[in-house]
Amino acid sequence: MTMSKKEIHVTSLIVQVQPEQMAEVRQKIMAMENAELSVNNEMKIVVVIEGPTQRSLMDDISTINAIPGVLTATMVYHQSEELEEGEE
Amino acid sequence: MSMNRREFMKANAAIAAAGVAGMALPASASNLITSSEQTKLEWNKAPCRFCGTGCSVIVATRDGKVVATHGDAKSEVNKGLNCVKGYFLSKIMYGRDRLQTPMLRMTDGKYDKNGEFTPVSWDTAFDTMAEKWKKTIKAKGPTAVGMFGSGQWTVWEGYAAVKLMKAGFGSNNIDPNARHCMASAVGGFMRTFGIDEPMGCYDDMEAADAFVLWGSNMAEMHPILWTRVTDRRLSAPHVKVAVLSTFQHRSFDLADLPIVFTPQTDLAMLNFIANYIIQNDKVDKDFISKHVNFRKGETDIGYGLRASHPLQKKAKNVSTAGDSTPIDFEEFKKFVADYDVESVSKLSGVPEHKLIELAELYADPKKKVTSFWTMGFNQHTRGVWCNNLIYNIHLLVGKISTPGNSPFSLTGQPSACGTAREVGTFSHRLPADMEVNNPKHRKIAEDIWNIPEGIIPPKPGYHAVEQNRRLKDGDLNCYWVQVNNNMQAAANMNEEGLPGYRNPDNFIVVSDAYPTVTTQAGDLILPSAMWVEKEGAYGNAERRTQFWHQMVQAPGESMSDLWQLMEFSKRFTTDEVWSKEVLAANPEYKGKTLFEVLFQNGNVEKFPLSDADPKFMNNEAKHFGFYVQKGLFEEYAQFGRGHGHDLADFDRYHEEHGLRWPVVDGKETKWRYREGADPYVKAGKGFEFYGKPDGKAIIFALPYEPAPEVPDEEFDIWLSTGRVLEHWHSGSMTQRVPELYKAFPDAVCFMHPDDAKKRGLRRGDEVKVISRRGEIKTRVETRGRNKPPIGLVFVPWFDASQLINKVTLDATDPLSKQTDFKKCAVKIVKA
Repeated sequence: MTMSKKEIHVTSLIVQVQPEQMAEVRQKIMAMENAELSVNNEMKIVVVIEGPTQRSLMDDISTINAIPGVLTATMVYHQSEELEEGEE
Repeated sequence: MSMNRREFMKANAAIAAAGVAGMALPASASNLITSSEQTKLEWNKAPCRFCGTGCSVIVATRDGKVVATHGDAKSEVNKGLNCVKGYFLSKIMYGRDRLQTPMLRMTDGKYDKNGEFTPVSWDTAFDTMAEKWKKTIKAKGPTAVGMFGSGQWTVWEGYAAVKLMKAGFGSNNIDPNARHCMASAVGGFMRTFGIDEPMGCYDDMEAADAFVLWGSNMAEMHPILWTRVTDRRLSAPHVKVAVLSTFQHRSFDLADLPIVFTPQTDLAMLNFIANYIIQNDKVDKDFISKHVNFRKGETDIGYGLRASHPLQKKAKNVSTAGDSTPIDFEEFKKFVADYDVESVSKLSGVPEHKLIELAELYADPKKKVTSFWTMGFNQHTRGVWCNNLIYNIHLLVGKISTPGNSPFSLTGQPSACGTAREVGTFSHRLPADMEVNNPKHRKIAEDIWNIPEGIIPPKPGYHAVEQNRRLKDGDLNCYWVQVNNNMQAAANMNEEGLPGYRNPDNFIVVSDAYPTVTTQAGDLILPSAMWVEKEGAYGNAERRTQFWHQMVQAPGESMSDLWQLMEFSKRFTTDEVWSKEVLAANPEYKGKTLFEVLFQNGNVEKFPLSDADPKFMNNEAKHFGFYVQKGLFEEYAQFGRGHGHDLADFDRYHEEHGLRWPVVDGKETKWRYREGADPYVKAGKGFEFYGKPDGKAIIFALPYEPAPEVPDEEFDIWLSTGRVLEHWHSGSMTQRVPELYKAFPDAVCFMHPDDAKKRGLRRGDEVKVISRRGEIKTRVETRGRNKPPIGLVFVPWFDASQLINKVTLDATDPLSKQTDFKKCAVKIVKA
């Protein structure tokens, strides 16, 4: 693995949530730096996480798993790319 | 709208997840094409190689390497999802310390039990092995050689191993690590129904009104199935979830009825529920009169310890442990009447109202109930009883074999069902539930295998725990371990496992992909190909058989276990291993190699290389010159077809995302024993438990009996062991995935804060966990995912640097011979 190039990792999760705690769970996830909420219904949210390494994604997933009201957080999709110089 | 690469990736990820979750995204976001990188990848299906759930994954290869995996959206099991282990599957083959060459303990160029591991050729490895095997068989006969396999063997590997041992060497000393995992479940099925494996399937999860988890922590151990249970619970608010365990864990987050009980008292709770159903007149009388017999089982049956152990000497009915006598409903009613709510509440520590609420889930005729269990019932000195008792309850109320009504024994390993159980890799079994001590069954096997009468010995061989004891005692001298890490996995390793492997009279061979505690304890290490480095088949917990193709080459000189077994068989002739009498009566077998007898028997070599899909690699077919996997599978399938275990044609499984047996007239079976769902049930019967001669299942009267070792003044706290989400079994694969290792790096001792305080301990302190047999050092964890009650600690067993099985007791269920890893007495002191 080349260390000079910057990597970007993206993963999406399906998070199952106790419906009565959905609002709080959404707020907590929104407050996370690398996580974005996508669609949700009354018991499930799709969350997209990005980060510089796969480990940083794993840390964020652990954080989501530990939020009260979160029942499961299952990864669905993962992609990593090397960013070109100057690319954001 | 322009989109940069980052936004594009994130949109892709969101679409994938929304699709799997069954939720739509706004149209503007859903027209994206997948990235150009994706087009360079070759995608093919394979079942995950970890747990018994049997998720299907789509595996991407590029330039001869597996580079990515994702959940298979076409799979009925996981519907596009994967747990964190499955997610990192692509990394398990590429740990830096992968074994790549055979290694023999040597000094000065010669084998030496105390020598250093030295790379050798496959020829030297097999020559050394064969010499030891031949010498031992000549001196002591075939009972002195043995094999230990696994529910992680592919179907044909397990089948080839059974053939090599039982039809080749004429030894029944083959057992799988499924003995540690599913033997009690098998015992329960055989005793109650006469046929192994669940009657229901995963579809029960979308139909049930109530779920009861008996000891199982599905949230961590079967996470994908847990997402299905969670979906059902959240989308149908009337659904109730009861979670029972000896400590609180992640599955309790979803529990409507959380129950923490004192170890071993599950037996009493099960009998209480039966009693409650009878007392409240909720028995399905029509069902039990047509489909059920009642029997009373033998009691005081010991704890499967060595015969010299005081507890074993004290037990009255060790030799008749499996016996039972017929009784009627009234006698059964009287038997369970002792299990009233007051006394069971006192014994179990569970409040009366919770026991009643639990019993009511089963008793309410309007509620469809699915019960789940795994190691809590199975790793239990009364494990077969627990399995029998849960079937009692479902049978009493007729809640069985219909969608949502399902006593469901979950499985630990990916092919504990498909290989270990169905193929018959146990020391007492033959394929398709047949047993070696039945002369008719031996005859069927000898006929299909095309071997002379009298080769398969009638006496069951040594089971897993007995193998370690016999190695130590010097009765078992040549021993081959494949696909598992039994030194770390088996209980009481200081007193039994290690002395057996290091006994100077013994030669121990270990095939594995990575160095483990077991390879280190052996004398010869053989490097194994794993998962998609070979063509394979697994069978999951719902009777689903799934195939995969070889997609990549294994590193170095690694070879599949199948290749190893078949090549080794070439080094023996019948004259060296079969008795003179058998050969005199069957002279046409004289001088043949075991390879010829077992694998060129008119069946196995029947399908030419050209039958294999040329798109894929197949090292074994190429090497042996015929489609080995197909030949082995089709020969094996003869055992079950027409006998309730029908498998489809070999080729079809490569097309399907799995099929649930029996597959009759091309159709799979979702629910067995019910008319209309199962082709084996005769018209007009309604239900038929055709594993028993009269078509009736058995309700057993069996009591609560205490655990063999309970906390006392000195060893004052219960120890339970088990797994965590991130690690598979002993961690030999998952600890090599950095992300999984980091998520749960080292084992800890989960304990109640009050228990810690009482011993002057704080979270993070180094402690010793000490039993009468051994001790380990670990750290105290008073928070986190597992919350034991006062009086119990939980230590996971994946960590090779903290071998908790130095501490555990090798007490087993006397019927199933499965070890109880969930209960022994320890003390915790500051290190």
